[in-house]
Amino acid sequence: MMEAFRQSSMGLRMAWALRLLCLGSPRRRLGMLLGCLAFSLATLAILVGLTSLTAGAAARVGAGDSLGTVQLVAFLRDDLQPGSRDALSLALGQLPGVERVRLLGSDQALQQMRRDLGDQASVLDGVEEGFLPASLEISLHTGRQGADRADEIAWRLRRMEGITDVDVRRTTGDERLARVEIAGRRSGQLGLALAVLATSLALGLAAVAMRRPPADGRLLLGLGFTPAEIATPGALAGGACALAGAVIGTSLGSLGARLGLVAAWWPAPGPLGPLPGRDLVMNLSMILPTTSPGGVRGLIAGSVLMMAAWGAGLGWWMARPGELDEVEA
Amino acid sequence: MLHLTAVTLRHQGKTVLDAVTLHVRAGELLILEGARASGKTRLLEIAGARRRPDSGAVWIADHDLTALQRDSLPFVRRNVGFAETQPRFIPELSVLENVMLPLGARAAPLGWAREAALRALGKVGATGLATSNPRTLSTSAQRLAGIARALAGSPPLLLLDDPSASLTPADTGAVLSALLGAVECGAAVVCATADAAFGAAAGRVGGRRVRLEGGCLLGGPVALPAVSRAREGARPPARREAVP
Repeated sequence: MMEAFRQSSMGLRMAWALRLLCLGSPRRRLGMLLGCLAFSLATLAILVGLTSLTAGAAARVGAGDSLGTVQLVAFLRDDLQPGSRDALSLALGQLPGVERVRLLGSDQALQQMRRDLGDQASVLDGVEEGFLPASLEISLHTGRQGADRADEIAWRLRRMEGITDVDVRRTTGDERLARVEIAGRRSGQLGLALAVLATSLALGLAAVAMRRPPADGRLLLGLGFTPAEIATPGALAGGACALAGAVIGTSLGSLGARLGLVAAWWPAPGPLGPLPGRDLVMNLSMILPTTSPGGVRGLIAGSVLMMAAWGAGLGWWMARPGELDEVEA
Repeated sequence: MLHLTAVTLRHQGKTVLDAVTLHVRAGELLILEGARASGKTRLLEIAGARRRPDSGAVWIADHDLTALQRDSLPFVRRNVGFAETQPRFIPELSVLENVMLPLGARAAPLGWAREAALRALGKVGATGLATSNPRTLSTSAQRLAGIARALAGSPPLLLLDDPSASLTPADTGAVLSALLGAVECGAAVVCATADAAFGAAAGRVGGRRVRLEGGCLLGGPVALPAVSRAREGARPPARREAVP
């Protein structure tokens, strides 16, 4: 009676599902593009959100690695002979982590203080020569070589003969830290905005799908396709869209981070202050693949896979045909 | 092949089908005549496993549809050729590909499905529509394509809702001829129609005519064959694919 054909096989069913997916995709291209955009935004939101969460740590790493410089000022005893000063200066220059040592005489120290006080330098009028002690300005290497060991070096210096006190100045690093922490909060706000945008887009697509149940699905259900066979192409399409979106989002984030790294080396225009948003981009750059540890890379990979799973689930849910009599009763 | 026993369906407080009992044997052509809104379409939907009755039993071959889970119904549907009054198509696919779809549900190989679909289109004289886009077709051409889709793969049970509507006499003749061909091959064919001329023509070529009025079947059911009665006692497993 019924013409002979080979018994059902998973391979053939999958071939039919893929065929229907490919043939039906032109009609769904707008939805697929919007879905892709939603998942791109969601991935960017996760990445930016991660920068917000790790802003503090990233700022400290950043301050030590590239931007923060630490200077030690060792105040010398007044009775220290010039020859001893030079010998001490030479010895300090040999210490690990020390980049440069500059001898600052009493008169030079006074001039420096006058410059630092600026308009209020008049308070130093009448101060005689030798009021301030001679000192050694010791610049440390950046990163783990020097700046991170500033306290340890200062502790050693305080115990050296001829040095009365040591001052640790981290002004640049502290400013950097504060700026990046502010950038972290801004990252959080941006991440939240991106997440809201992505969620709105995804919910909008789902709402449209709910209002217009897929007619193709009902047709196929009536012809004998199972709900799983009908929803599988939707799940595949949703997963592919989400994966593409996540890859695009990660690529955009990574590109932004790389640009940020490049921009970080440009000198900020003096009268205008720091470049707008530069800290935000710098902050993002600190956790992305070029500079991040393996754990963060794993989180990014996990986010991409999670997006693909969500996309597949959403695609499945949107393509499910329901029941014939439920729809048509 | 098809056994409906005391099938009742209510919708929005009205009785659409009232204890309808109907039996159709394999190799039989049944013409279900009735005016509009007499319940013909709902009866066909119940017979085609597309709708569940409120009460009564529906058997197709060895399967009690009322005992099957919803998940199992597609396995029954893929063995039933169903032609709707207003057939729906997937607009991106050609007519040929749309006719191939029921064979896709049976996971038929692509080449075989194409040949079977072309044969089905040929049976109703619509081979020329194969490469057309369904959206560009006239109502009658869409109807022919829908009937060809029901015929594709020669299912053991054919259910056609108003097959002669908006067809020319020549097309109606081709459809009737195709249905008789299916009957000769052993299929059970049920045609619901409001067209008395089509009913009369089908009656002249051996079709059995019954009438549905206000959800009630007039003329009474045919005698249930002994084999079928014996089958009714056996309960098939809840989840089993209906294959030939």
